[in-house]
Parts: sequence; structure tokens; C-alpha cells
Amino acid sequence: MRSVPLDPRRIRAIVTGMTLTATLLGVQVLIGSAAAAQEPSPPTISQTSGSSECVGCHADPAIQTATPGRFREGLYVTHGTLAESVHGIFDCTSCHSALTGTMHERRDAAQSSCVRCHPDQAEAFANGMHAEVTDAGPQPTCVTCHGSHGVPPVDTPAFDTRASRECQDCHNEMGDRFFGGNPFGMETHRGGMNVATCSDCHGAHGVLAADDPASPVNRANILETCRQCHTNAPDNFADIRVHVESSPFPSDPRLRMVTLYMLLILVGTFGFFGYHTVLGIKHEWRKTHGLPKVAR
Amino acid sequence: MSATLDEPIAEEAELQPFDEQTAVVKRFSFWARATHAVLATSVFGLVLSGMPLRYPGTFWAKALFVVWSGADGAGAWHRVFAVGFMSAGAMHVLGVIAGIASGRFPKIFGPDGIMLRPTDVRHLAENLRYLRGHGPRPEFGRFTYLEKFDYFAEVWGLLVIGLSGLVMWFPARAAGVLPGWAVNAAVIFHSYEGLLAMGFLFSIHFFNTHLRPEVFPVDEVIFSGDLPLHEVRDRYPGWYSRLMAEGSGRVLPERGRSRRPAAIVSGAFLSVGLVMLVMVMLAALAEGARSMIDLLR
Repeated sequence: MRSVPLDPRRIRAIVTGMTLTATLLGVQVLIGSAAAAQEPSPPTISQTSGSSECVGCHADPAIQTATPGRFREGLYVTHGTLAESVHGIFDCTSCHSALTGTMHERRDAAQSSCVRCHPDQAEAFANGMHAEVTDAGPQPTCVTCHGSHGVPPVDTPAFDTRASRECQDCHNEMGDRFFGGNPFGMETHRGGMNVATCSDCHGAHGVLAADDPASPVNRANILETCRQCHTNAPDNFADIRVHVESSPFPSDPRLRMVTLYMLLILVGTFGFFGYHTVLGIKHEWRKTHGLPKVAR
Repeated sequence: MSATLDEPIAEEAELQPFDEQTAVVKRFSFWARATHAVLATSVFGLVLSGMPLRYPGTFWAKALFVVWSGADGAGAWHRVFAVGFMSAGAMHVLGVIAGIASGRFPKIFGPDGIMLRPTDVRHLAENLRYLRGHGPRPEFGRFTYLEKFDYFAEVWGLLVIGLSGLVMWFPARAAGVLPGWAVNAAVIFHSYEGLLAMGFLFSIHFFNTHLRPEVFPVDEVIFSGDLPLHEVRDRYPGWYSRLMAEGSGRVLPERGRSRRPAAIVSGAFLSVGLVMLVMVMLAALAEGARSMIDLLR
């Protein structure tokens, strides 16, 4: 049998189809980026003499390596950092009130400045478990979670994701389970704002240990916490795991069975039908191109 | 018309499958083709909005989030396409009910029916021999075992992915009837079944149905509903001989129509599908390799 010629009209039509798709996607991207450009720009730093003077030295990346100490990464500050910050409108010395002179000696800088404007959060923090000093390591302060110079506005995805990522920095495993295994965690991780993140269940500043009877994730309170969003949640709603292992072999035997079952179907289907498809395409290729070894 | 059919089809006509005069057989009804169109569109929307949520770290996910205006938008559109997807399921059920009620499906368990039969197993064994050049082509009926599998895989997939998706969409309602762990299981089902359905449709279904060398780039029967008679003879010999024996009114002269819209639409769908297939498979393999390394450590 002779080969079936490929109609040039069909080739042109395929090319047209692909071009149309590419154009449509391109237009979508353009619309998306135009919408992003229209979003209100963050407050810009006031060009006060104080800030400019400070940034003059602090915008040099070498300041991180030239200075000893735990906070040396925070010493690198540019106008760009401050432009993204919700606090960028303030003068440096509004927070760094202890600093005097250009070649300042003090390094404890802004420790208690947050409290002046955010007393409620500071009080909650003082009552929470993160304020307790333990042997586990350095306890978090305001800047551990919120960042310092570049702190983003609270109602932006950047703030939400940043705060939850900061939880993950210390609580690695729980963070991995939430952001890697829970579909809502995955959505938060990409900047989704309509889904729960760490602080929605655990609380933020006044976070308590789960065995504390006042903790929102304590066994006695957890259903109530779920019902903040899932208003119609039934009694067994709290049995649903929120921190899900992203491993293909979860420790829960029932979930492991489900995973193994799906993996088996996946491998079996692609293995057999993949083989079958390759055979079929090879056969038909030989047939349409008049090659030998075809039973007719 | 029957006089034309009794004559052997000219070799020349066979070489020009799009000849205006070719006789055709009605294979898919308008309703079936409309269902396929709704289903295909929904599946593409579901893949393009769901896969970036499954693999959010990849570069293509970031590009798609621009298209859907963020992760929230992708989630919202995923639910819109899910409604389209379930509508396709409902359209099919309505079509089947109407078909049975009006008597248009007299023999769904017969040799030209969609239901699985023992002969399908024999056809599979025969076909594997035939494809390697060791035997004759099996006497396929109207639907080959591969097409039946395609169909039932779709039914199964629609149920699994639809039900698990509804559980994820309405977790509180689902927990009212299911134990808590089943909601977690739904996420696993949804994730793997999404991979399975996408992988199956964009590789096995694409290559067996549309990208075969004989019909590349698309089997236009899904747009026109008409299959040229010589293709019926070639691909479904069992059905062909039964059609000839009963002198069925299914054989019609081909309606002249442009093939270009079909090629444009399918060209767009197939190229997007293949790109997504490669991207998702690479991301899935990378994730699988990472977790295997974690497991061994």
C-alpha cells in the first residue's frame, strides 16, 4: 500500500491552530501583567536626610561580611528594600531610636521599637509560648517572622506567605506537610489568600502549645477552630489531617493502601498501553510508508 | 446507493480519504460529538488550572498563574471547568437514556456494542500478534477493545476524579457522610487520578486515536461523525461485514465540508496537551525521584 500523502492544507491548518493558541496565551499573559502593573504601588521611602544618609553606607553589600554578629544580614538595606516595606515611609531613627551619630557603636538597634506602635501584638506575644525562653534555641522575635526592613503590607499575599514560610523555617516537618501535602497549603504557598495558613488555626502572636487548654488547636477546641471557616463542619471534621505527609508512602495504613493502589494502576496502565501504543504506531508507520514486515 | 456499495471501492479512492464522493458511515451522533467537545474543553481547562496547583514550584506553573490571575484564580477556574466536566458526564448519561428509550441502541452487548465481551480478550491477543507481523488483523467490531478501554477508563476516571474533587470542594458536607481519613484519601485519589487521566488522554488516547500516521493530526470522525467506508473496512472489518450484510441505512454519501476547522481546533488542543504532558511528567518524575531518595535515606 502506498503512503497517504499529507495534505499541505492540513499542515497549514495545524500551524494556524498552534499560532492561534500561542497568540491567545500571549494575550492572556499581557492582560495579566497589565493588571499586575495597575495594582497600587507600595509606599515610597521619603527622601529624608536621615534615611538617605543611613542607606549611603548600608546599601553596600560588603556591610554583611564586614560586621560580626547574629543580625548582620539585616544590616544590608537599600532604597529598594525600603520601597517594598510598609514601614518605608518612616525615617530610620523612628525605629532605631537608640542610634546616634554616623559611626554608631550600638548594635541592639530596634529591639523594643515595634511595641510602641503595636502594643496589642506585643502583649499577646508576651503571653504566648514564643516568648518563653527554653533550651531549644533562640526564641523568635518580631523580625524573625515579619522580617525587618522589607516587611510587606499585611493584606498582601507577600505578607501571608512570608509569615507562614517563617514558621516553616523552624517547624520544618510540619511546614513541609502543610505546604507540600495539603492542597490548601499548596495554594497558600503560591500566594493564595482565600485559604487557611498557619496562623489561621494556631494563632499568631499569642501562639500556645497544642496541649495548652487555651490553644485553638487543642483537642478540645479544634472543632470550633475549624468552624470559623467551615461553619457547617460535622463532629468528625477534626479527624481530617491538615498536616499531610507529602511522601508517596504515608504512615497511615489506609492512606498507604490508597497510594499503593493508585501507583499500581498508574504503572500498570502506562506500562501496558504504552507498549501497545508504540507497537501500533510502528506498525502503522511501516504500513503508510510502504515498509516491509507487515502482515496483510 | 446500494449499487455503489456492492462494487469494490476503487484503490484510488482509498488513497484520497477526503474525496468528496467517498461513502461514509455514521459513527458518532451529534450528541456524542457535542459531549466529546464539552469533555475535551473541560479536561484542558482542568489540566491547565489544576496542574499548576499540584506542582506550584515549576516555571510553567508560574506562567499559568499569570493566565489565571494567581493561585486563587486557578482554584476558582478549576471549579468552573469541573462543572463543565460533570456536565459532559450528565450529557452522556442523558444520551444513553434517550438512546435506550428510543431504541437506537438495540444491541449494546452485541459484537458492535460498547460493552466488554470475551472476544475482546481474543482480539487483544490476536492484535498484539498482528502488530508484530505474526498474524492476521482481528475482526474488530464497531469498537475495538482499545476504544472500549478508552471509554470505560473515562467513565471510571470521571467517577473517581469527580467524586474526590467534590469531597475536596465540600469537605464539611463530605465529612458528614465519610470518616475523616477518607477526605485525606480523596486528595490522594484526586492527585494520582489527575496524573493518570491526563497522562492517559494526552499520550495513549492522543497517539492511538488522533496522532496515528494514518489519520494524523486528528481523526476527523469526532468532528463530522462520519467515517469513510474504506476506513470502516480497514479498521473495523467485523462491523463492515455486518453493515454490508444488513444493508444498513448508516452508509451515506459524504457531505462536502471543510476539514480546516477540525485541524485548527485539534492542532491547538493536541499541541497544548503534548506540552503539558511533557512538563507534568518531568515534574512528577522529579518529585518521585526526590521522595525515593528521601525514603532511602
